[in-house]
Amino acid sequence: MNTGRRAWPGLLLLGILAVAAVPGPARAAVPGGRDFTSFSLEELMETEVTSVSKKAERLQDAPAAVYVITADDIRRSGATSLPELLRMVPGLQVSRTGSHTWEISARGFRYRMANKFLVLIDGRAVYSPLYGTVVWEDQDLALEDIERIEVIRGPGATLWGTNAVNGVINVITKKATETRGALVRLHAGNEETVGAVVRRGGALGRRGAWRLTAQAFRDDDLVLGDGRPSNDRWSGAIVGTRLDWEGATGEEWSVQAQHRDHSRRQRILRLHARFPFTEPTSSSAEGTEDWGMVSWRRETATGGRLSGKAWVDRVESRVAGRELERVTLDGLLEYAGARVGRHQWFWGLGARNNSFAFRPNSRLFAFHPADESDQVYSGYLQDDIVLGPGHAHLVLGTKVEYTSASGVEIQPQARAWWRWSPAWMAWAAVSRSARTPTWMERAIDQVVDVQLVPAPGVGTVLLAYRLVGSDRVRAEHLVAHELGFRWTPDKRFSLDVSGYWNEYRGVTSFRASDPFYVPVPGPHVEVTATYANESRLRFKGVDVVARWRPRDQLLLEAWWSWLEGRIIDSPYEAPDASAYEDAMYLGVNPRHQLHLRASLDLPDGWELDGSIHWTDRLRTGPVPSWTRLDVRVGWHSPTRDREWSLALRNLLGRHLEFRYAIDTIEPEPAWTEPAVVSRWTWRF
Amino acid sequence: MALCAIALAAFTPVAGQQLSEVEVRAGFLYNFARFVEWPPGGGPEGDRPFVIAVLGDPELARALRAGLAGKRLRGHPVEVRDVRDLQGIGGAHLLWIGKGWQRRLHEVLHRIGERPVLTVSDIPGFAGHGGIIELYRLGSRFRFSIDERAASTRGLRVSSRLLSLSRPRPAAARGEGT
Repeated sequence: MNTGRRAWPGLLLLGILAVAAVPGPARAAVPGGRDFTSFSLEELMETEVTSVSKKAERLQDAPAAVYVITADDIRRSGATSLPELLRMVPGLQVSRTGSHTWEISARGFRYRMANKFLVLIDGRAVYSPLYGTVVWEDQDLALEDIERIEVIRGPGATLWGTNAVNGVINVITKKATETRGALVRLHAGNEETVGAVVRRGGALGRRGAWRLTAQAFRDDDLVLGDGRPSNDRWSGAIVGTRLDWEGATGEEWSVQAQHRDHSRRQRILRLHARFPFTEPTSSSAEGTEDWGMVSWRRETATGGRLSGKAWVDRVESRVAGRELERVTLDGLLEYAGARVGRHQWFWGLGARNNSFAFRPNSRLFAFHPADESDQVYSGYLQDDIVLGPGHAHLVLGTKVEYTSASGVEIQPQARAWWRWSPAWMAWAAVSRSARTPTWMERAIDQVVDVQLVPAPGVGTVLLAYRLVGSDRVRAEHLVAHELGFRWTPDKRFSLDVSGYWNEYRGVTSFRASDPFYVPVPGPHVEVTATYANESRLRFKGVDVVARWRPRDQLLLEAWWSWLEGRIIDSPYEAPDASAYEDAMYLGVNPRHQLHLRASLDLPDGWELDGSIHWTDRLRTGPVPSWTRLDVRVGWHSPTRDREWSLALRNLLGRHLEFRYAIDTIEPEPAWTEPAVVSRWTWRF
Repeated sequence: MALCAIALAAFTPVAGQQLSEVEVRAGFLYNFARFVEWPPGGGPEGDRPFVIAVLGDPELARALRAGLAGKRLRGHPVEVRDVRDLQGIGGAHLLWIGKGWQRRLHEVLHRIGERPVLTVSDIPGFAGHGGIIELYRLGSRFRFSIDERAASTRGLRVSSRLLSLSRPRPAAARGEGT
């Protein structure tokens, strides 16, 4: 039973009618292999060729812990959502806790409020400045529109700014010129009940292209430990467009826009003044989002590249009678120079305005102020210096950022690398990054738990726990040290090892008040926990990734990740000293993870893919170690105008992937069950 | 504050590239040959091969030979000649002139004379100094410009499709010269 079916069936129907009614152009056969005779003139004119003088490197050769998920990896993973796609990334910890909730991080700190990863879609930040985290369930885009996903573990602060503390996930969508023709995709399964994508693209004049994508889906409840449904099913629809064109003097323009409509059952905690005081229940919730972006790029006469971008994003969510709205406006100008002698300079300037509004403020849940806006101004400068002969580089850069909420942050970085032979490369980096306080940490005022506790002389008394923000909350800081090397003896094999040693200061902590008496609305006692930042932690770890393609048709990948954390300083006094950090920051990360992936191309268009993932136990919960086996079988026609696949997940049985530290105020996590999804794709 | 556009520092990701630079040039040559008409007696007769001469670019000759193996061009079998001096360009229907011949360009064009040979090159200023099609880079992509008069003087007719995609090389954007 689903409340709020709303827009999606209508959008889907409209999409199908749009594709069916308009005759599409004959779709060119997909260029296969490296046969230049199968490329049309227009396609040849679209192909990007890197120049020797710019020394543009493939991202996989970059001196950092980088992993690229290609469009083919996406197709063959069997995943239907962005968070599920991230399971294959080395060092990333991905756990599903509900139909629309995930816990994702790397290098420590995983929690729903894991606020140290920055996610960008075509350069547009989808990191919520309200919570300081990525609201994964709000990111909805057709996976078929993704060109690739670049995941950089480690601080990306100098280029990406604050909040890219533990890493950056950069989702890059396909240009409209690459998605011409029509595409229809349907999927059906036991968990992802049903979904469809309808896409249409065409030429825009002589030098451009457009596309329109519509997607709708409906996912069912998952199952809790005791067999009850998780009561957090959701459905939604998006309609988006992208236009790309080239101007008269060679500059490139791109315009994108999207409207999203989600409808969910959301698990909430209802508070009562009488027994049972807290009642886990579910409420209907709605989320809508509208965003638009314009970007522009051109090559300068000196061989450099100038680019600009502006976007606006409006997100609105409504749960249980409350409404939250955020509007973000962002502008960015960047320049990447050509190498002149030993130096290659980069700079950028940006400005952003976030405004928030929460309605209505009540005694139980409020933001003070309920309406706020803050501005961020930033600039970065970076120099890539060639040291001596051979391939040794030193990159020095810094980003300076001013936030109206928390002042100036300076984030410098030094990175060096040396490729002493075509097969060997080593790199090292040291940097400082900051995570600026969120509106929630500064403004929230929410009763999160109510209990009946014994009180001397009175018998029992109602005790309410209130979470309170503070204006004095400061940014968290990370000083990161990284080291890595890469060995690529030939085109078929690569081994990547990266290690890190990170120290975090000013980590979020809480100051608990003494209980105090409150007469309204009925006599009770309150304890407030005020946001502060007085914890200090250290994390270190190593990721090892091996990739081997013994035949053209077979790809094997294996990675192992080790992580260990330590509390250096805790503000809490005994007997609770370090207990909070241990449960929230350390115990939620597995010490070891192991992942094996294989992709096999069989004759006649058949494909077989599989992956095995093993995770160590989590102390918080505790959550026992688990192993997961996913298998996918697929088939495609020679011209790829028809595709079909069947994905089987969790073949080794149900397991729990995560448990919250304070389970009285968080919803009970759902278990991950065996699931099946079937997909059909047609191209016209 | 999130800023992006160029991935990491100096590392520009190679976006969805399927062909190498040489293969892209070979692709253009293949398409140029398809969309130009030779005058009667100017093209290959019967089952005689269509001859592509590559002057001063052995890598391009190798790529052309590999990509056109077993294929036909305009209904004729293809012969690719890796030419190092002016002797070898006789009998060619399509001639690529490598950058290394920039200083002796007039010698090459003089040797061809008014014969119906489709001349293509990436020498800057080729179209306008006697060459027919100039292939140049605009940023990271290839474009081409066509000197229609140079073509018609030799009896060659360039299809409107090819003409519609040609663009004169902008004076300001020199792109990647090397």
